[in-house]
Amino acid sequence: MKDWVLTPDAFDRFLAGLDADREQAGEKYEVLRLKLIKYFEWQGSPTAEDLADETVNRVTRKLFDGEPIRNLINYIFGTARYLAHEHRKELLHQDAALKELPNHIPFKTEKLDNIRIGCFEKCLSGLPEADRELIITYYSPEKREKIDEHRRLADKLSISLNSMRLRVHRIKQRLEKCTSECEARHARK
Amino acid sequence: MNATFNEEKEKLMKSYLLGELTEQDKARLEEQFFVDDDQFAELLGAEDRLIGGYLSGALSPAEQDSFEKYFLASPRLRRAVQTESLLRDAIGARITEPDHLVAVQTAGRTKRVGIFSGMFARPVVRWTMVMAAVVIVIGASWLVWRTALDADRLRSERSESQEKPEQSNLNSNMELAQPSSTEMAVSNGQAQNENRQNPQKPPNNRQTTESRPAIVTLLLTPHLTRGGGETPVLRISRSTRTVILRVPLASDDYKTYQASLQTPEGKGINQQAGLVARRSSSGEYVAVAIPARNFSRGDYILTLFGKTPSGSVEKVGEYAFTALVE
Repeated sequence: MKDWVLTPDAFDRFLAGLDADREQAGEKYEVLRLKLIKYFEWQGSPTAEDLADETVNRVTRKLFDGEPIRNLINYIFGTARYLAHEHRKELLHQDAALKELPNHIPFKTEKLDNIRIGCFEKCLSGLPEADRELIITYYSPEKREKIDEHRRLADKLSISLNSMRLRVHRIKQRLEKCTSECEARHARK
Repeated sequence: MNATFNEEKEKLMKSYLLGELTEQDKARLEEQFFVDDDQFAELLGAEDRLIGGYLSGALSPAEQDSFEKYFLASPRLRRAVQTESLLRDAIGARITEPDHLVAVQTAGRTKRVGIFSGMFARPVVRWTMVMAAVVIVIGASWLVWRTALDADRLRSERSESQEKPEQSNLNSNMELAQPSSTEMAVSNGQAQNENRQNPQKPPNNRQTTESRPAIVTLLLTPHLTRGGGETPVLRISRSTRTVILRVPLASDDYKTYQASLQTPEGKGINQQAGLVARRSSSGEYVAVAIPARNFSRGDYILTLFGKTPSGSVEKVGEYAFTALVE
């Protein structure tokens, strides 16, 4: 299973399973991937994105192999739950090993944090203007944690509150990914 | 009706995010958000409010505790909180120095520590720190009073009967003291929580103080590892209930510390996580509180690990000592 590579054909079949309309399927896939990432995050997984992709890979392969799947979303959820369970077992083994063999790589909090702050600011300013404005407004002191304020903001953008939440979280994911990659580049220097 | 329903829903989502739901309820909620995009978006909103509540100090002490123990235990979720903290900074939220690091930072050191910069501006934490400072001052005064009292008693006992010298001759590295709520709090997550919810009052009644368990503190020094220098001796009497192993730090490079106490043969005695650095007049240190009953006569090795913000664990040092149990 692990050697199987996701092909464009197989992925197309997966998308078709989500929606007959290609554009709609693409949007559904975006939301589904965010759901999977958040699901694994909420299970405490440090590799939520990898597990989300592995879930999609496994389900896509089943589809590609012609296995009948009656309810695709439920099947994806079941696969994700199975992977989360497997991953938890793996983490327990890793923790035990870590206790016996601690990591000796020297680490300086100050250096890493300064890099992170710099990377974050760079990534934030690198966002498309509309996304940057949205995320800044969403988290502005007068709006954050206030559902009514968020609803007003969504009205202003002519989208539903939940669509706005999904959009904000996708922007946040991109921001986090960009920041992590930037940090990793600095760490290699 | 609708308000109650929404409150219940919010409570359910919060419980899910804090890992407090039963497996059955958890699976039900997960299935709902996988099938229904709106449910998922609402959960995202609940997560936003939870993180925001934590950063602004609006969570109850119990929620705050669960958040730190469960939500922040995940490296990815810690990063999410960090991102939100940075976002708040970026949009002009007030930036304050993290309180828990202020307690151990040297003067003039003004580093920002990402996730920990915004979240420690919480009033709850500030209030707790003020209360802790009051407890420390009262506790220190009481210790001075108690030590003087013990010395007086010792002197009068000596004059009345000829005691064996070793009974009053404590190791120079050790000090006999009554429990200090702040020492206990820093050494144990559970104690920290209890301390937050039930701030201990300093003893004001002699009967009470005498019935309280004694604490023995052993100072460990970095060079006193196996094979190097004189091994410190921990003397545990019958009245000793708690041992505090105090490990000085050259610098505080980690968010939290973990400690593992073992025998030289590798038998695990005690493990603790979530320890934080403290500052005393002699410098920064980590205190590890261990029940005296865990010890028997013999050699021990305390290994201290530092936990980085990315979640990896690094060894800080090993400290050997010998326990003598009366």
